Amino acid sequence: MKLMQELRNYVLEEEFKIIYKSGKLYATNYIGIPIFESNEIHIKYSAGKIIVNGKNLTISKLSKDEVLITGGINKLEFRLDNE
Amino acid sequence: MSNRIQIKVTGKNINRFIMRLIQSKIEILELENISNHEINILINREDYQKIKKIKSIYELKVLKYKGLIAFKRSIRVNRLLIFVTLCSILFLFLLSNVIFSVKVIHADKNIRNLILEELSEYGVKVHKFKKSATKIDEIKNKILDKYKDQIEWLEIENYGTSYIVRVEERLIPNKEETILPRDVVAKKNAVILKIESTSGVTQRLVGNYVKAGDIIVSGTVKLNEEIKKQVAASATVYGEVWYTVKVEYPYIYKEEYYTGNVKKGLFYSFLNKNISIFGKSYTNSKLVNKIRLSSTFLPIFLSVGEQQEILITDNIFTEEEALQIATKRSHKGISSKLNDNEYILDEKVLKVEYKDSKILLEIFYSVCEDITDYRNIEDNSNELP
Repeated sequence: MKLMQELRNYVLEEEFKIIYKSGKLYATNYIGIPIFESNEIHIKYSAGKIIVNGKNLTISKLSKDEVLITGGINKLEFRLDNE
Repeated sequence: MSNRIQIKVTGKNINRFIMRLIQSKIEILELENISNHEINILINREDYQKIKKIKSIYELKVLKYKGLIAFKRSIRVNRLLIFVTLCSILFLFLLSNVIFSVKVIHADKNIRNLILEELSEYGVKVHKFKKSATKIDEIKNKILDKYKDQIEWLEIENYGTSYIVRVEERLIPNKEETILPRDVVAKKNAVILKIESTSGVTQRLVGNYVKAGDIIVSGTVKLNEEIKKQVAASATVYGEVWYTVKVEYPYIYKEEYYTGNVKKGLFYSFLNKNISIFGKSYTNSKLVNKIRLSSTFLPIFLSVGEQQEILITDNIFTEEEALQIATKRSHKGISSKLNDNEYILDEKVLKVEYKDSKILLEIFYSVCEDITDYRNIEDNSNELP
């Protein structure tokens, strides 16, 4: 079953992923952005949320399932729903 | 090609506006943060109306259209220019495909007219559309087939909006003309100087005076007053002929002639003087204009064309000089009408009259001239009673 789940994720790319590179944060398959401020952005996904802290944060790209956050990112905080 | 719009959003707390975009699930294709109050965003065209609804106090300004919409918009904005350009191209295309001249190169006017009429029948005439090379070949072959006895060769060449037709006439050698029995007669009143006879019976001798129409060599061969044979008499007869020529010549004579030197360029003309704008001008010249611009206020003309050099000679002659020149000119005029075997035997000034501005002369000339003429014997017999 685990193998099937992995195959399904691979084909449909439904899994939440984040990539942080060169001071930019790229997230896919997010659910929503409940908080957007220049020093804090919350990205909600199926299992919880990510809190991005920094300065002059902004959303450079935004689509239904992708978001690119740029600015001075200082901290990433992961919070699961059951925590 | 997706349609996208780049817009500028200005207003207080711009992050609130971005939050609205997030909540409305509007895709942000590109976001550029200019300041806390201003951002540039690239969005899909269909989202623009949604943004307009949620913008509230924020101001929107369209910066750029991208994709097919940009193309359409560019066409809409420049529609007049595009229309004029297309019309111009179409007009140019039409003009360059219309025939403005058809020239047939041949010395014979009848052949020229014949070819022009034929070409006209096939639609190759002025103000008609040009034909394709295949069609021209077809027309050429049709004309050649139709006039195979008259036309040897035909070439239709297209130079821009002109057709130049080169044609070669078919020359069928004439059947040998049967020369009818004839006499050699005198063309003018003269004293015979020389007779070169090849056939016929010579009736007159060198030194005899003949009047115009007198038989010199007869084509009728007689024996004891009985006509034995009639032949085509052939001879060349030279005789002494007389002329009296009246000449007048002015004492003051001005002559202009072209040296053959030509200068092309830009000229301005003022008081009958043509001055070259670039380089030196000829002292005396005639301007052949191609383009001439004139002013309504100033007596100056600006011309583009050719300046042809003229040499002007002014002469004032004495009575003796004028007499000499007039005699020479008269001699030259008579000589120019004579062929290689003809020449002036003698000349004498009969009368000289001096007037205020000119000299009047009467000169007598004695000339050795070909006086040969032919007359058919039948015609001759008809004339006789």
